[in-house]
Amino acid sequence: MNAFLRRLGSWALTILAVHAVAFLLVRSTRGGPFDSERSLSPEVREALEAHYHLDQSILHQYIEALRGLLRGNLGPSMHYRDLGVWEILSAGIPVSLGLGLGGILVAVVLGVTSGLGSARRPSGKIDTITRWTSSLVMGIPNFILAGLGVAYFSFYLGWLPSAGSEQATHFILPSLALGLPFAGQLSRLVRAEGLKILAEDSIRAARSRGLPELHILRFHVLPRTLVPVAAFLGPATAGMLTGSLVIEQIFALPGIGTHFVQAALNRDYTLALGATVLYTALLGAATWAADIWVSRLDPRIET
Amino acid sequence: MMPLDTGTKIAICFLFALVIGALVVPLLPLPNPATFSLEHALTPPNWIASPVLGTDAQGRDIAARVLWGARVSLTVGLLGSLVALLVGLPWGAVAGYRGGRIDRWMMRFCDGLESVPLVVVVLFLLTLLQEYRIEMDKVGIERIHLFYFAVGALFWLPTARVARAEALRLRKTAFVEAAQSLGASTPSILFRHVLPHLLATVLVMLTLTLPRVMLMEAFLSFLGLGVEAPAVSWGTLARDGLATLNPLVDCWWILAAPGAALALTLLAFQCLSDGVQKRLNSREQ
Repeated sequence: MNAFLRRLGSWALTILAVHAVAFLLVRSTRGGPFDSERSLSPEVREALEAHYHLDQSILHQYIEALRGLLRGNLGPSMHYRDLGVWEILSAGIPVSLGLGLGGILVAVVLGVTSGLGSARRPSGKIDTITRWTSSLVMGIPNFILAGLGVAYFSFYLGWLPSAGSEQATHFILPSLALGLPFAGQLSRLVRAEGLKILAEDSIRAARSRGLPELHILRFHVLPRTLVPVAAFLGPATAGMLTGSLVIEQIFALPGIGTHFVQAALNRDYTLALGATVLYTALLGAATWAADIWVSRLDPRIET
Repeated sequence: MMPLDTGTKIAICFLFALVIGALVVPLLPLPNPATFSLEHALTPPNWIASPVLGTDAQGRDIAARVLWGARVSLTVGLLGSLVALLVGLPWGAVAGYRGGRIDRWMMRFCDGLESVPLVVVVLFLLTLLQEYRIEMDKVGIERIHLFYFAVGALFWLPTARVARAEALRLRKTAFVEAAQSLGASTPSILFRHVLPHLLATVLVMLTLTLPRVMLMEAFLSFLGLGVEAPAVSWGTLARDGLATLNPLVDCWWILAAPGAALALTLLAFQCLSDGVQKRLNSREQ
């Protein structure tokens, strides 16, 4: 319980620190939201600034923003005048989560099965193919992989949609493009771990009892390889989060990443700030979840 | 001394050829990478005659553009990794050498940064800095210069960790203890005894950081937040390639050429760092 509270505390502290620094930077950057377009009459300008508390001291503004953050209100967007930052971002959360989970699923399922398959017979056929494929997908940047995937599967073969987010099929190519590089890394990790376990006496004992090979892999090897898999997932989520920025862009998925990149291009600072804070919160939550899974699998490791 | 294996040799040859190619590209008999010729648009790769790698939607020669892009991508990779080394190395060396409370706080700072999505934060900073472009233009700072620092800021953490581990080990060695007992000051020990011994580590870190920085450059340029036209890098070329992709016309080569260049370079660096690490390990044994 104590560990839980400490973890919660550091999670919240990270979010608050990122928010505070980002807030100060946005406020000290020249160019307010009402500078660019039409010039406003002084009265209208004053009224607008009073409405958004821009006429008050920076400390006051920060406290206002903090209260908003705690209530889940990230203020108005500077570019989309009628929408709040939280409205825009919350519409993107399910899309981004779906993509992220799809990527993790691809990485874990493909990585673990191919890793175990190649550990079973080192330098056999499966092993050779797996090792070549995994270094290939690890070497090609995910946006190139995504682009070539679209060119082949969507445009040439016409099997899968190239953009959109309405159906589950829309997520197949993006999840593959996002997850494959991590599947390659996991495959290597699981192979190394599997080789170590398969050389142990317990496995020889299991074989001598006449257990089928698949049974041994499934019940004796697989559970023990999951600890490094879970430990790998924590840092991997950070990489996936970065990758999702381009993948969402390529497949026109309206997730947080697309909004963030658009905000960066549109100079929509409040939206960029909100997305940064949201990403920090999501990354913290994901690494936390991975750590909990690790400690479930191996109770000797504490979170 | 263990001989280098074939993979590492091929990797070194490839990288060498790439650097030479990038250096002498203005002298090569290639078409100008910026010349439009719409009648030659979207020519598929010819492999032996010009256009070797085909042309893009504006009829520009892909091979020339990939080689010109190599200049930018390699420069960003090199300078970005140098920034990462210049920040990470002293940080790690001081933390590891001083130890105790200073070490704890310096490393806690690194842990804190690691729990933040750094790429997003750096993108956010680059966005804010766009507001000051006119001033920066006046003093001659371009976006690409900020870029070196931005990617450096992303990759100094692993360098700092490795440098710290090495410095912790060096602190206990006889020659450092001898220097301490002779009354040498901390900075002089750091500069004359600790940092020179980190050189081998630096070499390995450089082969690991460089490809990551190049990948990050490609990634940011791909998003439209990095290198800007008329300069070309492999990231902007990939961006063009993806933008040209459509279901009606077959034009995979525009995307595949910069993608292959990037992937081969990353793979070569991977082989190189494996080879260097193996060699250093074998020397220590």
